[in-house]
Amino acid sequence: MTSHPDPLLVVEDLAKSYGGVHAVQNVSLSIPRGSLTGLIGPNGAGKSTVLGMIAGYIRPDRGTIELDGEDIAGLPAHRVARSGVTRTFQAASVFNRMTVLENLLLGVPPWKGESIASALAGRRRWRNQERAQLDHAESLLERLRLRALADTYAGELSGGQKRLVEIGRAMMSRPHLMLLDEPMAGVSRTLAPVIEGLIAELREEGMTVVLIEHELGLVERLCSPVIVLAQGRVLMQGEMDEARADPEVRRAYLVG
Amino acid sequence: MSAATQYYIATILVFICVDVIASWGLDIQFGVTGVLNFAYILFQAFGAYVAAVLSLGSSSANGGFQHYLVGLTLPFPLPILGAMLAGAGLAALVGLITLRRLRSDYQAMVMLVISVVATIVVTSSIGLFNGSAGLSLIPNPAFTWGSFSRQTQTWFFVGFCVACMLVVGLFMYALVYSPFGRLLRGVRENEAGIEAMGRSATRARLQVFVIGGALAALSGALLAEFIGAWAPSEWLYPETFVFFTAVIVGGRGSVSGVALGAALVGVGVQQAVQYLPIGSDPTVLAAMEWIITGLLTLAFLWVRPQGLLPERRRRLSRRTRPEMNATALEKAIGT
Amino acid sequence: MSEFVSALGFGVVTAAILAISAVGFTLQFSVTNVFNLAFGSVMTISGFVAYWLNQLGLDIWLAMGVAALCGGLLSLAINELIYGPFIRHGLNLFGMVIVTISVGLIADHSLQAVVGPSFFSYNAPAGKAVNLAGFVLTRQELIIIGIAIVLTGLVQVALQRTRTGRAMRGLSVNPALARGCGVPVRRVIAIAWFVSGVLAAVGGVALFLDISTFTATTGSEFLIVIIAAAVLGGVGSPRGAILGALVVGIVTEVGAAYWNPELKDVLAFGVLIVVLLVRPQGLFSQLATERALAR
Repeated sequence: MTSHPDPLLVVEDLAKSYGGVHAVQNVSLSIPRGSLTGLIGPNGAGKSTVLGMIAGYIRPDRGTIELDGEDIAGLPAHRVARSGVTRTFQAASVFNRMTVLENLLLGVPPWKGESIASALAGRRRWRNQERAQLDHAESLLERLRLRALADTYAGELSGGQKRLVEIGRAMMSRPHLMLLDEPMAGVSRTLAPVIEGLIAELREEGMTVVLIEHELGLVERLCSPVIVLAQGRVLMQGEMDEARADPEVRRAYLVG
Repeated sequence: MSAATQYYIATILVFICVDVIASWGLDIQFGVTGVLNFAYILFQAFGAYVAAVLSLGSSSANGGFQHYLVGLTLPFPLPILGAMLAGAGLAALVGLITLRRLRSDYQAMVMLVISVVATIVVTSSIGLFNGSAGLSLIPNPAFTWGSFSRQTQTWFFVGFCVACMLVVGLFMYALVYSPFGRLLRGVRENEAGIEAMGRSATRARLQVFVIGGALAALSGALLAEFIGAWAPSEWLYPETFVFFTAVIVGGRGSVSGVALGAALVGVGVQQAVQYLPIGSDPTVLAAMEWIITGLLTLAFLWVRPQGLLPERRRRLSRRTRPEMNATALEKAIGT
Repeated sequence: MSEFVSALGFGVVTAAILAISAVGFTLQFSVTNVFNLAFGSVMTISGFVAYWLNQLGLDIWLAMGVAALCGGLLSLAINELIYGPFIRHGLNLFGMVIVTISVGLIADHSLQAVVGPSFFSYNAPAGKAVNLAGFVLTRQELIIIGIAIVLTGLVQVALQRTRTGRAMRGLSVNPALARGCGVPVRRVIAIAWFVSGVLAAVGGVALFLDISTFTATTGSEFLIVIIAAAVLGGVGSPRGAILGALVVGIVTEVGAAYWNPELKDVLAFGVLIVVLLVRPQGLFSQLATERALAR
């Protein structure tokens, strides 16, 4: 494992098994600040499990996950999110029977106006703040070129559009770390470049991103470094061309 | 208008208010947040019992033929407020125990079983709420302020019920169409997604469980004080599903929709059944009410799951533009 | 001591009835992933079919056989005509539970409208009491236990040895994979519903025999105890259901003998609640773990 001078996330000896099946075994890795790291490997390598543990959806059997020095291993998902980590899911986790704008509004960090007390105190309490959030959301929609869909139910969108909304929602809280689990899943060929462009822009703006993706071309274009997982272990962490040349990696992809 | 007709109208009005309040309570849990509370009737029952024991006075009075806990004679409206607090408390307890990371239908099973257990426990523990005989001779609330004619008492109570319903209605509107309401719908739509946004789904569920519990208890308290009696036969576990039907038929998540559903399914069905050509055997009539309720649920889930008055779409964008069809947009911009 | 033995005897009979029913319930759940709360209604209706045949003079055991067939067909019909269409319509898990409850309510109350609220009994002599290793059981009770052993044994064997049985196990573990491997999904599911209905019917008649008097809602009232047994053993595991039935049957009867007979069912339910909260996958099932916690 190569250590980087300024890691945002350091994972040590992470492990998870399900009744005898070792999904993840002593995985250690570090994510450099401001990087767009690719997490790749054959099916069943444990990539989603690692992501799930970092994001707090899966409880690790052991190991530490340090975000900016603070151990977040074992914390529930919503607490991890509050520490500045957001994630997307293979099946876009948008809120179907709510409009795109409402989806984005739920992306802002939890705020006082969302409480029962505020609701009962009346619109005046939260109207102004909501307006500001709406402004932010609408300009984000502008950027995503989805403005015309602002009042459309998210459930009616195409796969790619849902993904854009999901990433947009994640962007609303200006997170420190964004975890993208197969963002290209279910995305049409027309929208794929848009999403790829968006991810590249995020990196340029200084966001730290970890990306699980099967399409290796995309990984090669965007990601540096790249972490290869196979059968629950880290095979290597480095650049994409190093990975291509590595014999262990080639074997894993052929066999796994 | 004859006294009998007056009483009949008063009864209908009270039942409508009670059913609407109760259905709203379930709506905030199930319609808005997606919690399958299959023990809902338990909270209405608890509210009814608590209101009763807070107005009946000591159990040894009246010849001591009823046995129950506590036994105070609090002035109106304290028994009802007490009932709401008790309902909220019970909901907090049940919610803390059951609202864990269980698959939703397993969770629903636990609640169903709790409802059944409660019936058995109350029926067999006479000292609790007088067992299967239940409580009776619950005094009409106006009684505590002085003696009025029977009619005045009744109409006063009807007025009070309507007032309660209006207040609860305002409460529901405030809650559902607020950022908090948005959060609840997020929990309903995609729990993993809402957690990824830093919000705890379990906490939100617990909150609506308590709110719904209080509303259910309020409806129970009003019902018990009006009828003057309350027994286990009023709250067998299938009763919960009448409220589910009301919410589904009226419109999940829609405040006005659920109110309509409650009036139709609660009171409407009960009245309509009497006009069917099936005779007047009470068992058959009661069975027919259940059959119609079940058929309504199936029909609406099949044809119109969003209900009669569906949840409104919130149009929040400020600049008015024609809403484009999603695929047309893709084609137009070339993205 | 003899009180204990006699309670244990009752427990074994209850366990037998529970085993038949719980296996039926859990088998269908494992294959279709639907919590069928109309199961109790199928039990009741089949029990009444046996009653009417019995009233016409048919021996109760033969009536049970006919009722078993009716139960299977009824269960199959409910799935083909109601559940299947709703599932294909896109209704999710929440909705399906409500659908099954509605079907149960409609069935129970339709039956009640027809037969009324009275209590009914079979025309079936209990038979001579037999002393078997200290247990005193009537001929009727022995036959019930025998049927339970045979039926649950057959189900177990069928699941392991027959192609349909293996297909069912495949569907329950990994539906997508099973479909991909060319399993005739619709047919296997139909068979599962039919078998589940047969077991519900036999369980229903056995239940009515055991408790002597029954009404139009008896089956649905018993359903919760069945769910307790199935969940205890691990929903979706027929073997677990049998063990769960034994535990629930014996614990409730022994508890009733030594504690308060009225609270007999509370014991079963208390066990169920604790199990669901502490270990929702039940005591025996690996598969049920994912099901219980997944969304």
